[in-house]
Amino acid sequence: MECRYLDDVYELFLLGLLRSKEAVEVEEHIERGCPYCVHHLREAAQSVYLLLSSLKDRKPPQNAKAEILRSLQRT
Amino acid sequence: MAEEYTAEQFLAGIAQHDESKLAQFYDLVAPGLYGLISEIVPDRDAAAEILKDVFVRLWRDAKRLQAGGGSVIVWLTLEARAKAVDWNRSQKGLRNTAHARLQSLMKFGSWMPRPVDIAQINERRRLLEKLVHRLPKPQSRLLELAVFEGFTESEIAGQIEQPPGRIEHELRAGLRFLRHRLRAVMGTWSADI
Repeated sequence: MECRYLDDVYELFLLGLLRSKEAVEVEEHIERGCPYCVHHLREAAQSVYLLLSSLKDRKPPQNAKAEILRSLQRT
Repeated sequence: MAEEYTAEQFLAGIAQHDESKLAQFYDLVAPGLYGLISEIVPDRDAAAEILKDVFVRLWRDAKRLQAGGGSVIVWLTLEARAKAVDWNRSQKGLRNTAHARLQSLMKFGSWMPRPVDIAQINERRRLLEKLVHRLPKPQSRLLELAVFEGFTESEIAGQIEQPPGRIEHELRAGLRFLRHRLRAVMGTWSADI
């Protein structure tokens, strides 16, 4: 499929919400380094990042940081 | 005056397994990530566990992320969202593939936005967020269901009892609205190649 038919799907692809057939098309283009698709996927990632980072901050549980640092010892 | 580090400088330290850098980076970014995760995952313990997973993965993959040159903030945000959506979907007995999709894509990291791209978004954030809020309400609701609940177009159609074709049209129109405005604000309108 030509790239221009994929114009509206990059965000959905990135979010894992695209129908299998379309997702396979995009993945094939990305795997072979198609410049058009790589560029548009990068742009889609910026849109998605903007949406996801627009929420209010929330303080994590008090012990969360200590738990993470303890977990590092086991990796 | 305390020294200020960029996200990528923190990443460089974390890649060298400097725990103090991870701890400082956590203080900087965890509230934003936890805000995102807990928007999607109502269970506080599960949300905390997901936050932990994200940072442990960062610790493990820092060298590879650094070599890729993409924005670590974008990676963290996408990783947090994917894990949270997968948890949510598994609670509802739905197939969860968001994280698998992201993992698969990370093998071809050239698509990841660069730190400079994200710096530009952050510089224009107030304006960009105003634009997000200008999305027509029906499209905004569909975006919430897709982005934060992780519902596919056909699942959304079933949820709100609308024809799948209409949902596809409206959701993609909403994403196109966002994309075009991002291009206009970022000055990348002629980005087609």
